Amino acid sequence: MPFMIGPAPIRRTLQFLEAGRLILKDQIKIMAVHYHLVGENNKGTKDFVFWCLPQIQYKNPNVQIATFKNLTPSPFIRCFYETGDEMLIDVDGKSKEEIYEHLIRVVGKTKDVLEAESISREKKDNPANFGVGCDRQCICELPGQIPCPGVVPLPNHMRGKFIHKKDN
Amino acid sequence: MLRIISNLRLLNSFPENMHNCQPVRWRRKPMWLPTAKSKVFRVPPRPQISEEEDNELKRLNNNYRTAMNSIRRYLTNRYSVKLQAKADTEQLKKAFEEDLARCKAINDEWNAELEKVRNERIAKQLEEDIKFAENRKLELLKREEEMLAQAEEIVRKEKELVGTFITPEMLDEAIENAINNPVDYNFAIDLEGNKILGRETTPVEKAQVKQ
Repeated sequence: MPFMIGPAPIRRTLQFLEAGRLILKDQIKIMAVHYHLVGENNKGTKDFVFWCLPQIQYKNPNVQIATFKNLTPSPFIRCFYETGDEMLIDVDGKSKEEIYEHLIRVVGKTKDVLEAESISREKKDNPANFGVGCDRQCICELPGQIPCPGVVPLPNHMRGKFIHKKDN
Repeated sequence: MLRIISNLRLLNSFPENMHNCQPVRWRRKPMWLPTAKSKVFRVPPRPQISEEEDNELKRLNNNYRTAMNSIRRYLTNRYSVKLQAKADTEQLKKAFEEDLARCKAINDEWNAELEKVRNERIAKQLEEDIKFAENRKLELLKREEEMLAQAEEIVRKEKELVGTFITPEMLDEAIENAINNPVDYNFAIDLEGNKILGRETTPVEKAQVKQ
């Protein structure tokens, strides 16, 4: 099965990718991970890059994620904001779970924000909705639906004028 | 007719003090009733609107539409929650800065803690490295000494051998000695693995098999 090629192909499954909990703040545009491939203090960061980066990239498609290997003695993560601010996170000797939790706390969106966003997205994203602020103004814009009677008259069998018609 | 009936029905269901009220509903006949017999063949004349009046009507209508559009847009902008949230950049910026400061505080704390741990680790590592280097140096010295001792041993043995060397003065004697004592290095092995020395020797008796 070609899909199973490579180390830990589970990282490419949709279920795994969607299980990610880190959704970066809107202002964060670039995330850079500096780490070393050898050394006990880099082990957690290496695992983090291996396991968590796919999830983060999947959940944040508009963020550029860069990794820099074997350039610095101790590992760290840098997040760049669109305002020019910068968050430098030291991850020396930390395990991948600790790093992940800290990132969620520091650069991730808070639970309240996420909930509010999911509610508004649900309202907007449901393709069945129509009206102001939705994908379509009226259901008649969909092919196969009955056009608005203001534009094209309804078929006669739906109009009171013809249903209740009394002859002379 | 219909109006009267409906009015009567409504009247029956209405409370006493509503007698004087006249409900206004179905002020005209429903559209599915046929054309009245007296009006079947009537052709209503087209309204004759003079050009001047037409222009005036168009102007008024245009003005009305423009005014209504602008009012609608104004109200949308004024009361739309979504647009307001977007437009309120000052507040958004302030909220972002507050949030950033909060997160930075958390992160600084984390970084400070890690820095402490790292400094300790590096100091420990340095100490271990120094110890390792010293051990290695000692081992190297020890090995050098051993090598020197081995060399000394070899030299000592060679010196002992020097006495047995054949010198030009002893050459004749040595040759004579060699001729008088010929050595035969040849040997044969029989099927049982016995070694029979010498080229000319014949096995006298069956020797025991060497295990």
